[in-house]
Amino acid sequence: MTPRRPIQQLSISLVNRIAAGEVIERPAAVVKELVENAIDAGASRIVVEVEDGGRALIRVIDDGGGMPPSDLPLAFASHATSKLTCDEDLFRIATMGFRGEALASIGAVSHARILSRMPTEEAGYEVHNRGGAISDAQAAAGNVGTTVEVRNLFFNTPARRKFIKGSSTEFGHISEMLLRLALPHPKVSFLLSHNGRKAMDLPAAPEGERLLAAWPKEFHESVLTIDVRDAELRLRGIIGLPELARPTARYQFFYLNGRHIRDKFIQHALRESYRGLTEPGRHPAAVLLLEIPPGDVDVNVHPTKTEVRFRDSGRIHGLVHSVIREKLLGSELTPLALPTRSDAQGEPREDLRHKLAEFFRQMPGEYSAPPTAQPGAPAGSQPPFGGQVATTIDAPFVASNPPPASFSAERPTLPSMPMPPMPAIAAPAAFARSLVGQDAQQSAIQLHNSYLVAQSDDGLVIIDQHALHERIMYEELLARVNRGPLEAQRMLIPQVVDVSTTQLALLEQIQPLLGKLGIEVSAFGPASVAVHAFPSFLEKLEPGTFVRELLERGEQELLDLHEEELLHEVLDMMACKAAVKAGDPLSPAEIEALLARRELVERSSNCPHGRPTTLRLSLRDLEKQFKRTGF
Amino acid sequence: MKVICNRGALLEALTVAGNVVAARTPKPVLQCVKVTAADDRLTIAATDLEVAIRYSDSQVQIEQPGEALLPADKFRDIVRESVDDTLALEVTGDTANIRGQDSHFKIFTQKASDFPPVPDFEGDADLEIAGGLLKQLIGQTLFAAARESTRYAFNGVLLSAKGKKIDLVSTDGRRLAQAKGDLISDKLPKEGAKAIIPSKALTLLDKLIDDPEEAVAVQVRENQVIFHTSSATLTSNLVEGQFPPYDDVIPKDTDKKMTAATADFLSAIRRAALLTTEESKGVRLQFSKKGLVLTSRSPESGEATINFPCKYEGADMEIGFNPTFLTDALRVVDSDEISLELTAPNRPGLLKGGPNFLYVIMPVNLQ
Ligand SMILES: Nc1ncnc2c1ncn2[C@@H]1O[C@H](COP(=O)(O)OP(=O)(O)O)[C@@H](O)[C@H]1O
Ligand SMILES: [Mg+2]
Ligand SMILES: [Zn+2]
Repeated sequence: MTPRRPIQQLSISLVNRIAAGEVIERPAAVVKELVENAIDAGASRIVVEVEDGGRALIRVIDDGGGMPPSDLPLAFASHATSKLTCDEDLFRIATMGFRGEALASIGAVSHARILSRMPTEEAGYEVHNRGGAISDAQAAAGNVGTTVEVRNLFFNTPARRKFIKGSSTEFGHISEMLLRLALPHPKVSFLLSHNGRKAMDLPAAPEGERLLAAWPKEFHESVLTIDVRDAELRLRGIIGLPELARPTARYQFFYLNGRHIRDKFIQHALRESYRGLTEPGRHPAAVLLLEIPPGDVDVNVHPTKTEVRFRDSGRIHGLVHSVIREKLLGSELTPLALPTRSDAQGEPREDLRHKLAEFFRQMPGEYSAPPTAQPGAPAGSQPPFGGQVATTIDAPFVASNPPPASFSAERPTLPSMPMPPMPAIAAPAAFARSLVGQDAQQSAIQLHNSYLVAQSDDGLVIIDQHALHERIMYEELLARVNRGPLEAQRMLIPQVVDVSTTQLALLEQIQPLLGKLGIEVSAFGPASVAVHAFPSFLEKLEPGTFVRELLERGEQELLDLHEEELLHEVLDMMACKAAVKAGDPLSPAEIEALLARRELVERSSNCPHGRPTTLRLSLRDLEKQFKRTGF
Repeated sequence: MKVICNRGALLEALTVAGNVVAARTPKPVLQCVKVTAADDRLTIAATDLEVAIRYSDSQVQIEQPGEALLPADKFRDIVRESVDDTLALEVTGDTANIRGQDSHFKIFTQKASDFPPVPDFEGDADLEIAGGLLKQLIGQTLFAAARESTRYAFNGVLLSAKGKKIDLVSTDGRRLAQAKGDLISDKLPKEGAKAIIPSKALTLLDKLIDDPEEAVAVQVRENQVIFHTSSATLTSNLVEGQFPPYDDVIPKDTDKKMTAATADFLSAIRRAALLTTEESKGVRLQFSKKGLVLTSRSPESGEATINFPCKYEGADMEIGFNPTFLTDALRVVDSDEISLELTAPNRPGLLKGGPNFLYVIMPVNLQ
C-alpha cells in the first residue's frame, strides 16, 4: 500500500486524458467501487451488507486507514483522489482506483454517507451526500476505518432504476463481483450478507486456498498450480484439469496487477493451451494472476476498467500459452485425458477403410440393375427407405444399452455387421430379395462411428447419427411432456451441487418446469442444492452434473426466456445428452431402430436448432459428379 | 531365459493378466506383461497402475531362469492360436522366441527393469475368507455400484471387516446393496478395517477364484488392498473418498411387508417389464390383502397386468419401481424367499433375501 496522500483535485489536462464518467450502472458497480476503495485503504477485513439486491442499502465497512475530517467532503467531489497527482502517475498505477470519481458518481444518484476514523484519531467524522448535496463533516462515533453507506440507489434517476432487475438477480451480480475482488486479495477477509443472511464468508487464507473459492468444491481435486516468473513478468494461479472445462467461461478469472480484467488475448492463449485436451467450444477453468511492469499496460481503455491494452500483447499471449501448455502436458494427470482424443482420431481411419470395403462389396449388384429390371422381384417391390426398415424391427431404440464398449477401455473395434450371405458379385435377384426379406438387416452402414449411409429411393442419404437421434428424442420427449410429467427415478442419496446466488434464483424461477421434466431439486444450505429425483430415461447421466450444466447455461442464456422457450431449451439439452454421440459404434439392430423412427422427425416441422440431420445425394447428382450424364 | 510351457495353462495365465493390461496408455511398458521364470514356475505380472496382478503358472519346465517384458496382446494371441500342447519360450537379448512344432514367432521385448513393481503377497493375512463366499458377496453387491460417478466412492464397493465378520456395500445413489458373511480368520485390530475397492479389481478377483473351498488371504493397507489365492496375487489401489453413511438410508420404520418366493417374484417382475419403454421404465406395484398386482403401460406399446398372489401385511399401497433395479437384486439373492418392506410411495423399499442380503431401492414417480 502506498502511503496516503491528501485528496486533491486533478489537473484539467489529466482529467481530459481520463475516459469519461465512472459508470455506475447497477448495484454491483457500487460494491465494486466501495470495496476497491477499502482495499486501497489497506483494510484487512471488509464487510459488505446488502439489502434488497442493493436497491435499499449497500454498506461497506472496512478497518483500513480512514480519512481525515478535512478530506471527507472532498471524497464526494468529482475527480478528487488521493491516489494520483501528476500526469506521470497515471502510467504507474498500483492502486485499484485512480480517477477520483466513484464516490462523486455514487453520491449523485443515492443517499450516501461516509463515516471514517483514522487510527490516530480519538473519534470519527461523517459526511452525507443526498443526491449531490454534500454536508459538512461532523463528529460521529465509529471504529477505526471507513464505513460507506449507499441507500436508495438511483432514487433520482428513474430511467436507470427501471433497468435494475429483481433483488436476487442484482444480488447475484453483487456476490460475483465481490468474489472477483476477493480472489487476488487473500490476506483480506470478506464477509457478504443479504437481508441480514450470510451469503459469502472468505476468511484470510493463503493465496492458493483463496483462489479455489472461485470454483465449486468438486473441482478442488482436479487443480494444477502455476507460478512462473522472469525479471519482468510473473504468472501464477490455478488451472483446472481438462475435464473441468465447461460450456461457458464462468470459471475463468484473469487479473492484471491485482485488477480483474477481461482480455481476449489471454482467453485465447488459455484455450489454445488446452487444444486437443477438451472438446471444442468448452472453456477451461483457470484463475490467472499476471503481473507486468505498470508501464507496459494501459489500464484505462474502458471506463469500467476491465479491458486493458498491452504494449506487447504477443509476449503475454506466448507466456500464458507456453506456461499452461507445459504444465498440462508435464502433468501426470494429462495422459488420462488424452486417450479419448486418440480414440477419436486414431481409430476411425482403420474403421473407414474396413467400412468402405464392406460397402463396396455390396454395391455392384445393387447399382448394376435398376429396380424395375430385376428379374425375380416384382416391379417396384423395393420399398422406400423408411418402410423397408420399419418392417424389420419394431423394438424401440435401445439408448439405455449403448454398446458396453463405451464404458470399458477395450472397446471392440467394430460392431459386427452381418456379411451378405452371398459372393461379392451377387445375382441381382438374390440381392433384391434380401432387401425385402427377413434377412434385410443392413439398410445402412456406419462410417467413422458417426454417420450412417443408406440407399434411398433415388440415390443415397448421409445421416448424422447424433443429430438424428437427438431430434427423435426431442420430438418424443416433447410429446411426452405434453401428456404429463416425465417419469422420475427418486434418489436414495441425493447429489448435492454447489450453486451461486444467481443460479439459486434461476432455480426458483424454473422449479415448476423442472417438475414437469422429472427433476426435483431443493435448497440444501445457503449455496447448494440437492437433486432428489431425475428422469428415468436419463439414467446414464449424473443428476448433479446435468443440473449444474443446466444452471451454468441458464445463467447466461435462459434467464429471459418464456416458459415455452425454456422448456424447449431444456428438452433439447436432455435430448442431446441422451442421444448417441458421434463416435459411438452402433449395432445393426440399433441402426435399424434409429432409422425406423426417422419418419417422426421428417413429419415434424418443429426443429430445435435448424441443424440438418440428413444430407441427400440423388442418382442424378452422382451421375453428374461422375460425368455419366448421357450414357 | 528358457521355458517349456503347457499351452492351456499359459493361455489361462495370459488371459487373466490381459484383463489388467491398460488398453490405451501413454506408457508402452504398461501394454506388456512381465514374465519371470524362477523357482519352478512362470510368473506373469501385469499392471495398469490401478490394479496389478501376479499370476503363477506351475505347469512349466524351466530350463534357464530369467525375466522379460512381452507385448501382452501379441503374446496372448500367439498362444491362443497355436495348436501345440506345449510351447517353448526363449528370450535372448531383446527378442522372445516362441516355438511350436511347425511355428516360430519372434517378438521384440522391452527392458524388464522399466516395468513398475508388481507387489507379491508378503507377511500375514489380515483376514482370510472362503473363496466361494467372497465370490457370492461380490456377486451380490458389485452390480449396484456406479460406473462413472463423480462421487468417486460410488464407483467402488465398501468392504468392512471386524470381529470375524465381513460385509460388502455398494450404491449408485439410487439403490444400495449389502451382503454379509463370516471370515475364516482375522488378525484385524479391534476397530476392524474398511476399504473402498474399485469395481475393476473385484470383477477380476471374481474371475480369479475358481475353487470355492480355497481360502483367499487379504491384506488391507493405507491405500491398497491385496488379495491372494493359490495361483494369483491381486493388488488394487483403493477408491479415494468418503463412502456415504449408508446406515442412514436403510429404512427402519417400515410398516408394510410382502413375502414371496424369489423365483416367482422375479418372473412376475420380468413379465410386467416387457411393455415398459425408455421413457416409462417404471412398473406399478399395487399391494393389498389380496396380494400384488403389477402393471406397466406405455403409450407406444400397450399395457401389461400380472396378478401375483403373495403374503402382504399392512395398509394397501401403490408404488413404482424400475424393474431392472428389482431383477438385478432378485437374480443374486441366494434364498428361496424374499421380503419387501415398504413405508410410502416416495420412500425407499427394503428387500431382504435371507439374513445376509439386504437391498434398498428408491421408487420412481409414476405419472
Ligand atoms: N474506504 C476508504 N478508506 C479511506 N479512504 C477512502 C475510502 N474510500 C474513499 N477514500 C478516499 O476518497 C477518495 C475518492 O474515492 P473515489 O471516488 O473512489 O476515487 P479513487 O478511488 O479513484 O481515488 C480516494 O482517493 C480516497 O482517498
Ligand atoms: Mg475508488
Ligand atoms: Zn447435440
